[in-house]
Amino acid sequence: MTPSLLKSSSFSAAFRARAGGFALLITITLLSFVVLLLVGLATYTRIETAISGNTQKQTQARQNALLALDVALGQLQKNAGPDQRVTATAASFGGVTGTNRYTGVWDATTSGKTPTTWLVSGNETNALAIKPTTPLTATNAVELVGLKTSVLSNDVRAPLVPITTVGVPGQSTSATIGRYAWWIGDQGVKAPVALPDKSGSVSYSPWTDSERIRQQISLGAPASDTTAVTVFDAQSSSNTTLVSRLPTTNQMTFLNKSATGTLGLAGLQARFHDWSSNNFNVLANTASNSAGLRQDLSLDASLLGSSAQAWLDYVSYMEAPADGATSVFPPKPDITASSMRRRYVMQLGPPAISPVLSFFLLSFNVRTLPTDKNTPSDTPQPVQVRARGAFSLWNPYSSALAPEELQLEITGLPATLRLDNQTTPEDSRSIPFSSLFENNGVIRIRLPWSTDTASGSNAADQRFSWLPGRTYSWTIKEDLTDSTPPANGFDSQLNSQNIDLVSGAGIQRTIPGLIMDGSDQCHLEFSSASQLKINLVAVRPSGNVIIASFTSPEFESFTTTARNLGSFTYSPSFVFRLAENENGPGSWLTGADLREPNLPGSAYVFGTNGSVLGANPALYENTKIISAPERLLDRDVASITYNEDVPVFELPRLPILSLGMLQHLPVDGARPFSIGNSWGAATTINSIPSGQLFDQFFFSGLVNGVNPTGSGSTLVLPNPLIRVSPRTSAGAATTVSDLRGLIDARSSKYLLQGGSFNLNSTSIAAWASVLRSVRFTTPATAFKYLEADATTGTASTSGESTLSVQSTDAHFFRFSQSAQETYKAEAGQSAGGSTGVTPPKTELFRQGMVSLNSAQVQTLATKITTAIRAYHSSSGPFRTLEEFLSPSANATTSLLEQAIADAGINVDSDGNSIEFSSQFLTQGDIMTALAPVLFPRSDTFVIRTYGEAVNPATGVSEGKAWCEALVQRIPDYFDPADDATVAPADLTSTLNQNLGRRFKVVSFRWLTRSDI
Amino acid sequence: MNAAPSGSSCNHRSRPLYRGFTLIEVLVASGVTLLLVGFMVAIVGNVTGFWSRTSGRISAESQARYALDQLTLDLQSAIYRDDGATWLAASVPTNTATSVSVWVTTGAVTGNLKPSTATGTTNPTLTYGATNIANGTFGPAGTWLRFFTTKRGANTATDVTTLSSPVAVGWQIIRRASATNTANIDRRYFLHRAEVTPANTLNTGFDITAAAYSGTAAATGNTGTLGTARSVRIPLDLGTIIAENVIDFGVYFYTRPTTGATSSAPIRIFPSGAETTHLANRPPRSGTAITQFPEEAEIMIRVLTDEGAAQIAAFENGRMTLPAGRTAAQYWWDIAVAKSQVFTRRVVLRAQTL
Repeated sequence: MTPSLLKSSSFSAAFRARAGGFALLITITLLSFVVLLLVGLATYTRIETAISGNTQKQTQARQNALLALDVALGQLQKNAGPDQRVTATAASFGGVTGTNRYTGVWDATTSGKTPTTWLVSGNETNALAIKPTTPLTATNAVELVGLKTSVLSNDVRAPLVPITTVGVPGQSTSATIGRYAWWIGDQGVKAPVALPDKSGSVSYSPWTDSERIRQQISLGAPASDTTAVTVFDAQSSSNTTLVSRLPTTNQMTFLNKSATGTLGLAGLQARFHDWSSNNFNVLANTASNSAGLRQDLSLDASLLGSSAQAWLDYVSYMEAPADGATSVFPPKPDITASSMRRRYVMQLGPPAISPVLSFFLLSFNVRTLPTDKNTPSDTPQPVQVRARGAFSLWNPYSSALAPEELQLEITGLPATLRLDNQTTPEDSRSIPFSSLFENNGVIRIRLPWSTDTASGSNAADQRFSWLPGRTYSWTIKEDLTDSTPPANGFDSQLNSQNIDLVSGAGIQRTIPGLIMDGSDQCHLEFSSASQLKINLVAVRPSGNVIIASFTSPEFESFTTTARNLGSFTYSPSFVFRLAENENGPGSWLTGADLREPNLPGSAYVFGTNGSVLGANPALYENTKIISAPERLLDRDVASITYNEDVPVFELPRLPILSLGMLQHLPVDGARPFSIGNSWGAATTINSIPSGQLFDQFFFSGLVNGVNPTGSGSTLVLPNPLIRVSPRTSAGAATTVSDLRGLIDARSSKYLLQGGSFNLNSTSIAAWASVLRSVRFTTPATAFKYLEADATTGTASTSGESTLSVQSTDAHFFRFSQSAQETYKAEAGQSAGGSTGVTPPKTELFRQGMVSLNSAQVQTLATKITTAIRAYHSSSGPFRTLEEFLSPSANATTSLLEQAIADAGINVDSDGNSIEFSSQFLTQGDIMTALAPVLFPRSDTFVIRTYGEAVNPATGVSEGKAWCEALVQRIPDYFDPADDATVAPADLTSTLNQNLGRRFKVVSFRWLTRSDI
Repeated sequence: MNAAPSGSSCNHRSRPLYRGFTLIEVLVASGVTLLLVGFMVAIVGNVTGFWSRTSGRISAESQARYALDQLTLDLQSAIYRDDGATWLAASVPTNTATSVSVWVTTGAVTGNLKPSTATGTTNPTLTYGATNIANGTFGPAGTWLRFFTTKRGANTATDVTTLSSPVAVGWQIIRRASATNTANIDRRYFLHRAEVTPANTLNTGFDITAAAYSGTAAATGNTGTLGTARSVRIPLDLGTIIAENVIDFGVYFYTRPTTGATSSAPIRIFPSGAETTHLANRPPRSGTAITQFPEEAEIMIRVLTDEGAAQIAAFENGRMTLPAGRTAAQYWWDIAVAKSQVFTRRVVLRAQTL
């Protein structure tokens, strides 16, 4: 073969081979391409299917979380929906980390510490299957609150509950296809620290200054830590705008701190269990099944009886600003609506409003006519009886009184005395005594009021009104005319205690027809006890009006010391004064209420300085001392300092906003300040135990004449923390008329109390925040008070000027409506007195408030929470406010009072008790500020739930979801068949009987693991 | 070796090399080859079509699922307070004014974009009151839905923008370039979810109709960054895009009947008539329907397949000829209906107002 042929042959073979495989190659290529496409598509589809499957599992998990939410909501409704339920957290009931934030529910109609249930998953069918002491593991429980919520891992864990079903392919029995868990957190035990200050909206009559509301009640707590130091104040100017927009707690992250910067997420997480943005409570009674919603005393004060109703109707007895100008003694400067001073017209009442007789001295000298004014006669002369006297009247109120011409009507003195002549016994006889001075059977002493500056008196400025807490004295003027006792009384001089100067030789009355020798040794005898009755009379053009009556302590029968009948010695002397702090500081006002229109003798003690000489009038010879520096209610007339004023009680000058302010309500036969303090636990008001008032009533401030503008969400009540339902049942915007028109004054149907706090809270930081909720931190919210001048003893008569206080301290007001009138006071007083005697700290009485610094608040909060934990451990949570305010078992003080004592609040730097003044913190003072917001239960809760999808074949969790809801109990019942105003005992719907008032989900959010 | 045998032998062996195909062989071979090629072309074509349709559907489903999941979570967590402010709003704009500075029409043939008004009975643009929301069409920009919800954040302590906290969100469709480069001519219909940061939301306040959330004018310093209040209306940042090729987005709102009503069926409050705007500033069952905050929502989105998106783009850019007898608006919808899928959800808004 030639090479060419060979070459040709090889080419042909190769060509044939290529030609034969072409179609196959194309086919294989195309098929490969198709296969590649199919494989790619399958892979793509598989991925999408996997994604879809995961999405489906996630969807299932979310559905399980929603299922848990519904279950939790149902459990909450069933257990906490009725009014007679209270809540507390498990910290005091054996809780440990993971369970100590469980919320327990107790039936308020039962006692003991065993709850109805704990609001956590696992208790759906057996209410107490899961307890705070139940051991939880990683396999049977899931974390619902952890690092990202409260910086504590496994802070709250809830048991997992399996979700099973039958009919799963490959499973012959029921299979677990998912699990859920839920936990209900009690928001009410947290301090509500992000409340906007709406007091500025209360600009309608009679309010002219929002500070007057700020000092009356809590307007929202600042956010305090466990040291009671403010971390941030939502109502500071830097936060005002932001806080008005806050719908959720998490947004507090953005609030500006009191120091620098914003709170931040870490700051918020650290106080997750201590702070909430706001809490709301239904104004309902936990105490009684027949009570239902609380009644609004602002709308119907008669619920407290006629006396209290009259006291609350301050408009009827307070001198209206315009009326002062027509007064016999008009105020100076004029009192306007915006003035800090108010005056009250004296009346017998109710309510009884008058000065109180604080000192009484009537001294007698039976003698023969002297040779001259200063020289006793020793020859037979007509026998005379001379009388000298001094009287002090004290304004016990923190407001001024409108001065009037007054008169004392004195009865009860011995009508006759036995004059026992030891020198000439046969001349002994019965002589007329009081009858010599009587007009129509009554000794009358005129107590004139004058703004003139008289000799021996002080500046007139202090007498344009009867200043708060001020004592004025009158001394009987000398009257040697021997004339018939005048019908308008013997004259006296205002602001004089100098008996020698003013009374001189006294009022001279000659015993008709009796002449005796002045050198005869005589004594006077009265064989019976005597008790004086003194009426205080207002002399008015329309006729005299008795405005108060005072009864002296009972004087013993007496025999005076024998002496020459011509002697100038004044004896007997009927002298007594109001009992004060004889038993030491802090002991005052523990007996009779000094405002009683008929003040009994038990309110007084004999003598000028306690019962030194006892009840024998004969022992008080030549008594003429009024001033004693160790006395609270005395003042030297040369002193005009306001530091000696002793205001004790407050009269309302604005609509009452807190039940705690009823501590000033006089209650017949009861000790002062009974309402709100433990000593008044047995006191009844209109047959209602005083402690129950706090459970049964509230004050909206909507008294007659108060007409807030706006409606629905823009309607701000005088108590601005009260949230008005934006809509009525009919869907229209709620108006004031809607509130006024509700049956039995149950405006609470459309109200929720904002800023509420569950008193069963054991959080120190929460209590510290709430205790500090009355504060004046910024210039805009400073406490403004009336400037007073030491040289005039009062505010300037040319016009009121003000000073202000800013402080981060907690302020508890005794004079929550009037402290601005009396606030200014400085330590020390100018009253003279015995050498070596420390004057009482009268300045403590004026300020009208107690201020506690952070350290004191921390101590008090710590003591309170410690006591609450102890109470929980022994008795369970407090079921009612009455229980909280009443003395603890086997104790004379309540929990709060004991905490105050333990915290050393009411002692001076030496550890001695201070005067029972407005600086002496009482439970009533705390309740004045906090009564509107303290509840024994919570109505705001947060629900956290967990759901997971489980592969029934492998048991592996394939999807997880968390959600959170904030739920709120509202006044409406679960079933609209019953109106919200119906008492639980009268409910017609079985649903409502079992489920109570409805819970609403007010916010909902999905969580991720980063939220837990 | 001699030449003859060699030559003879060579000739004998080489004959087959020069033997040609018979005509029949050629015809059969050609026929078989053509048949095979045709068969393969058909297979490849079908497979390619299947791939295209399937991937398009999967892509659309993926887009829709993600968008609807997000919207579901947003709506379930919607916030409302009865304070007189508008906490939720939905508008069905008849033009693209909701996003004036973002909506792009350049490069398109005038009249070939998504119709702004109803132009025919076959595929009207605005039939949003249809009984079944899936049959509804919601205007050129779909529905502009905005409300307040709670962000699901990472809660990084050092970054408050990650806080799980109330935020304002705005949902709307905008036709825009898919890149910030102005030379980009790939313009699509995008569904946006603009989220205002928690801090900006708090600072701006809780009235979704506030000027900061709805102003059309550029705000000082607001240049379109993520999280600004203005992004609710003008989401300049491409990061607000949550799904592409979404050509319609609709919402129906419902409340539940009052207790004791004869029917337990939800009551549609938007649209309840011919209105195109719903401003929720009152609680359910209070006041007129279009002011009530809904208790349930029905949502729909229409998503183009990739092929549909390409066809719509080609039509809008003039690369496709308008068939005889069809208007531009009708033909736009012809393509859209044929090359898109509709997805719907029903969502319960969990929160109630006090």
